[in-house]
Amino acid sequence: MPADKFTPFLGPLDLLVLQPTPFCNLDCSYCYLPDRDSKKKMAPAVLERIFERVFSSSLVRGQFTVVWHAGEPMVLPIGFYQDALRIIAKYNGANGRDHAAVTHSIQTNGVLIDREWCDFIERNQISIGVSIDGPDFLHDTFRKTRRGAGTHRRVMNGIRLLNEHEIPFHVISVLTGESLDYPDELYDFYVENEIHQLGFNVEEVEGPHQKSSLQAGEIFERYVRFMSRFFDLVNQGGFEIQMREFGSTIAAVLQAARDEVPLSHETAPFGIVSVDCDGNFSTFSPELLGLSSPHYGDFALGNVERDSFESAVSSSKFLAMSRDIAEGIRRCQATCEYFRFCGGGAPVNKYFENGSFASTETMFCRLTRKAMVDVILEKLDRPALDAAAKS
Amino acid sequence: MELEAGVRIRVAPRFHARLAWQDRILLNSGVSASGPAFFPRHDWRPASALEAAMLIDASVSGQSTEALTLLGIPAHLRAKWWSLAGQQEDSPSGAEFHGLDEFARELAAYASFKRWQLPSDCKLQVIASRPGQSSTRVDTASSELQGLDFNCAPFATPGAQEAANSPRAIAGFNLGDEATSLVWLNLSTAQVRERVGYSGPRNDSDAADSGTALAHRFFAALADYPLVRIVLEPGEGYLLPEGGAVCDGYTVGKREVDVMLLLIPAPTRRSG
Repeated sequence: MPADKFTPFLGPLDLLVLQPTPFCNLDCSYCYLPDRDSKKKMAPAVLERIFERVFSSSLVRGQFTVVWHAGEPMVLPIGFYQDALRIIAKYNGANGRDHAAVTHSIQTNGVLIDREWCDFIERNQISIGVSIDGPDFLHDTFRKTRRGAGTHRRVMNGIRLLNEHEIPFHVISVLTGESLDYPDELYDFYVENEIHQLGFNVEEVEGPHQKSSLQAGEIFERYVRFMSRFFDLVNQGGFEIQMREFGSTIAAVLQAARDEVPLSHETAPFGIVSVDCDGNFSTFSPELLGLSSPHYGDFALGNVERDSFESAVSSSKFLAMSRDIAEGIRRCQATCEYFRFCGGGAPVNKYFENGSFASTETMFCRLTRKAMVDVILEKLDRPALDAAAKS
Repeated sequence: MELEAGVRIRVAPRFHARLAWQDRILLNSGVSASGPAFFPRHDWRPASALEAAMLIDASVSGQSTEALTLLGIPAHLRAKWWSLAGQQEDSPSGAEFHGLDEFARELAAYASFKRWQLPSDCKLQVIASRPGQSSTRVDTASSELQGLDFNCAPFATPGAQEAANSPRAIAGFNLGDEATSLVWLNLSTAQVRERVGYSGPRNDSDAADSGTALAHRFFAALADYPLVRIVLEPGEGYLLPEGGAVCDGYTVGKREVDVMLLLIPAPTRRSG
């Protein structure tokens, strides 16, 4: 499809997820990245082309966030990111377009954080997310070096440096079957290390990671108990923790009370754009890029070297993915009583758990949507919700 | 004397014990008598592989009422206790300990999450002991250390225990910031009775002291039987087997005041 016929409902771009290298210096046992041994890195020309494409596209409307992610972004030198910032400055607002507010975020395993990185992060006001699964006995079970050693001590060193530099950061902790027994210990860990912003991911079934400890029996009940207990701890303690899942679920519940269905970022075409180190790009769930399937082949929709984002919309792969994802949402809407809190789920989980985008319930949605809604509805009393919905 | 197989130590389900067994469990060569009381000798050594195998139950299948169970309270509960204690310091002597009920509820909620079978109806008692003591039992009248004794005495009726100020704690938690120790005889009540041929009090009025009598008969007869010292890190604690146990606190080697939170079952729980 020519660019001038670009469908205006695509986007706006919210997250630009860039994978500067597939390489990761760690070998976490629940990792879904198939190429984390590869030391390829994004060439300057690819970087240049990405931002040229992004800023000349109609996807950019106002503001978006560049997320440097997958493999480990900090294995590349700081100079790589200095170049990236220069390139962004060059194209942002060029050719008479409006200047977009671009924020940067790095999701890191934390072991390579040093003073030089802290200075760079501070200078450029980059948002930092550190992956740490709580205390060492939980973290080191899964998050290991390539020689199989635990990484907790090294991550904690990185967190100590961030705290010393007074750099705000958030933490993402992956919940496994084991960690569901330890809400108090996790809470103590966040308090002790002054971690105020937190997100819980679940150990997902994606790509090469085909079995999760969260697929065991009674996990739903255990997950609800965990979240219920953690909610109580956060709300009774004197230490402020902004927990992503509590915030987003409360927002969804309030939206539902106003008869609004929340939009799932991962199902909105080109709301999220992911680009790998070779310039291949995709949309929908960021994890799709780099994975492959018998049905679609890889999930790349084009390459910035030769394709605009707009042109990918007419590709048969995009059309098939869009159609199937939309069908999955329709089925969720028709069959799931939680649809009004969710909006249709995450395509990557549907595909890798159920074998099709055109499917409904996943382990991921049972835990991160249904269980969370159950917990929040139990914790918040109905009149308070109604009052909040009206305000 | 050599250690005999008896009651074992187990880690409570859903509790992560940081300390390795070799650093947690020490043995000695028995007791020394001082007047009527018995105190552990100080010649502590690591457990041999055979002793460790006899003492440690590595099973993770769940809590057992026949084992001594290692468990613990989280740091935020410990912090809450100290915060309450700090507020109490500003109150007049003898004033009600405000916030203790809420603390007890939070402790119960935590234990409930962990699915630990703590007594459902119990009193909380906090015992502060000086460092360097080979016992943390103090005779309230004489201020003398009482030494090793039965907790949850095997014969005493609840009423008699109350009257005699008999030690009744079934669980304890280290509230301090420094490790403490529990000294423990790894034999069950039945084993202790069998070794000394003591079948119990002759009448009800003796019942309150019968646990003490049994423990003292054992140590008088078998002074060289090794005792087990269990190191409890800050926040860690123990839950005694349901049949009671001979044990005592031990603060030798500590630098700070020892503060233990004890759980004492309501009198109706045990019937002797």
